[in-house]
Amino acid sequence: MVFSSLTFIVFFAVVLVLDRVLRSWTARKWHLLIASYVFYAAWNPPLLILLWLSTCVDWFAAKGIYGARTQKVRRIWLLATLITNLGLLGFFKYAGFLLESLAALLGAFGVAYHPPALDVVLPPGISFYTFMTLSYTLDVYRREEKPWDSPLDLALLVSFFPHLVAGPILRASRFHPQLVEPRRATSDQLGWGFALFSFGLFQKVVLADGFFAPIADQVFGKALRAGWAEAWTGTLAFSGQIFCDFAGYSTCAIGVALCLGFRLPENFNSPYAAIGFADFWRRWHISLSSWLRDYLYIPLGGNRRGPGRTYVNLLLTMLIGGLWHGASWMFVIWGGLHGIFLVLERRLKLSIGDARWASSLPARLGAMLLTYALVCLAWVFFRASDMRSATHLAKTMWLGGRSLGLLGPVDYVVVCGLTFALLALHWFTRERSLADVWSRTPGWARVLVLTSLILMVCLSGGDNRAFIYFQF
Amino acid sequence: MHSSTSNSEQDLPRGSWGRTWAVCLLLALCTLVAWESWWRLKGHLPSIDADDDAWLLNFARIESDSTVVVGTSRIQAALDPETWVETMHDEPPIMLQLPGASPIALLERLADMEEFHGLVLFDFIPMFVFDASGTSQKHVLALLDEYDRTRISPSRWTEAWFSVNVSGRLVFRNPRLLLIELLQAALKGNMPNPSVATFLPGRFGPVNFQRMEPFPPWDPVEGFGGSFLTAENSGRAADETETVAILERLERCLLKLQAHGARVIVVSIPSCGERARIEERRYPTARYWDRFKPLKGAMAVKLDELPDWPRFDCYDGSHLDSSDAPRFTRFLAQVLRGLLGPKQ
Repeated sequence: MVFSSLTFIVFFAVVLVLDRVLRSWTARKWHLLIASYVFYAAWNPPLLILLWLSTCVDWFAAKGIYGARTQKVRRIWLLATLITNLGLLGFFKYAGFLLESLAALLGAFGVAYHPPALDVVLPPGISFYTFMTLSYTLDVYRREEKPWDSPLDLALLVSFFPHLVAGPILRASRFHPQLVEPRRATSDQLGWGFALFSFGLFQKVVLADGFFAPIADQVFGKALRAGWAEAWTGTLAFSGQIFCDFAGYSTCAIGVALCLGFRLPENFNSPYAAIGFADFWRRWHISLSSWLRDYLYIPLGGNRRGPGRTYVNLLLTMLIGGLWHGASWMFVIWGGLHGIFLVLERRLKLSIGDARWASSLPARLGAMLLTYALVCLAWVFFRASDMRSATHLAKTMWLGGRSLGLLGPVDYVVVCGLTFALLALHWFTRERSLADVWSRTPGWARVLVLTSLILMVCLSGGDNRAFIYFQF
Repeated sequence: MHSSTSNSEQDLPRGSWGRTWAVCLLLALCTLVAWESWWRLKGHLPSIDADDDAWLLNFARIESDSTVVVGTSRIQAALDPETWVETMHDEPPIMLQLPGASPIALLERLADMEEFHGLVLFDFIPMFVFDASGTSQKHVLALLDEYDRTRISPSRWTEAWFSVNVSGRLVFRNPRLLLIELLQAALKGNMPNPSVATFLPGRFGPVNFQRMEPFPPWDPVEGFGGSFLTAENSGRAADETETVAILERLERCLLKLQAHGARVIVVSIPSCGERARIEERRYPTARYWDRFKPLKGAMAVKLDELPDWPRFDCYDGSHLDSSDAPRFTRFLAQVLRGLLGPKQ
């Protein structure tokens, strides 16, 4: 069930009405838990078992870790949860990829190995809820969190439907207080929640699917025929598509949760206005980048063990972050590129120091545009179907190439216009939030904007694409 | 738009949200009603855009004694559901035909359904049945695969139901009338005319050639969106070995269907004019139809060889006009009753 489907609208209406009708907090939590399981099972009912398994393992592991008398027992419990959670993720997401990579490696040494064809269905959201449940157990292991008293609360944390399949990745410590204290959405939360849901749908249905996706598909589908202008236009279109798609999903998720009285963490913050890559990762998929920082980069040593080790840690974190996105070497390369950019930026910052010119407006604007251009270069590897297409597009973008008429004049106008608008909006809202802007908007303008959003969503969206991040 | 703007940690915008949303919804509803009426006044009709969804829903409806139609768009345009109900005293058939498709894979699937003992109406066009390129089988195979993959996914089915029964009844959800398509059409200076073909919820597809501009006759080669060129260039005619293999494959599944009580009636709806000449040159009757007809397990009939075959105007050389569909359906019902016996 995707947020942009009529099925979800009907489902959510029923859930919301029941949530308003039920009086007891426990009954409402049970209601939300059942609704979340229905939401997940709507894709493929048997996959619900994985969700239950993950919940049970982390429930017992956290209790086991907390109650253990020796460090060895604590480690055994931790290992059990890591093996179960990462094992499930590895099997469902990476088994085929690992076997194929092994076959290619053996083939390079002249050993013929034909791996068995694995017909494994990728459970939606497995990467998201695995990281979320792991964060709970890891927090207990690090003595930052006590095991929860209520299995209902833990089950709801894992399965809460607004964030279940594509985040934001929740942290147990931040969500727990919301489950303990009874809550019901206020009229402001309901009103703003619906507004966010409409903004998210607009981003997804109109901008991502309607304008950007067809052009990106056209160029990446025939990547080897793309010239300079087409390679750039296709890549800009994909950069717009993936942002509007994923940020649209996150906005919908935050809005839906708010309608139920819950607050989810922010996941995007004007990422294309980032000045440098460290800034980009503070603004893009914030819940994942902060997870990687807290549970991978810092435990690896972070920047505490000298520059050399810091660079290795950065690269390793980004490579794993890339692989988290999907079982393909293209995602690893994408992560690796971001790792290299982060390392180079770190070195550059050391040599520039606190130079005054660096904080001037032209320098900041130039750095933002350079960051965006390099982010786009990395998107090529994220989106391209194979290495040959990716290298051709990347080479063509930077070294030029003859156009073969993949796109029409309207496509160039649409992509350039929308990209400019997106960058300008991100720059304008670098330090502002929509809530700030909305608070200063007069009533008539609010009505006009919301009506336009609803109309544009209703009058768009013929092909009903799934959200890109569902596959991760 | 960026979702930092949706920072839920900050203070929420306040205001009279109830009134704001009530006005918004009212305005949006009025605009949508006006927009729908405008397009209807311009002659546009509701049409099912999500034909794959409609096909999957139809496939899921097959019961042991259903009447199922397989074949191509030719029979889709020719059958009129109301006349069918009136003359056959039965529910409209389950339409599983696909444009330009070979139904062999579908027949095989029906043959594998042991409990199926209904009627299969097979619209036979040699150009697609004996296409050895595999092109004409792709769509059927993809849909069967989609059915197998998603049949346990409740949301897939509810969404299919919504796209057929809600979106399919609204003119403004027609893919050619969606906002982005209209913007692109406006930029190119050609706003969409009413469609010639409309697709109804049961996958019947009346074609109203009176809506065509320019009205037939068209250029004999490029007319009707290159329909004749399609006939000339699509697929690859099976050679002798491939023909024998296809015939054997067909006979195997026809016999299998017969073994569990299903009956298969094969009808060949004639094409005409330039299109008929192209089809005959590429797929001669003697080589394909005459060898298919005697296969065991089915009753095959070439409709234009029947003495009382009513002549129809054949605008694009292949599909009947919607005004002729009731007359064709009555004729077909008469043929079916003759072949199946009085109880049918």
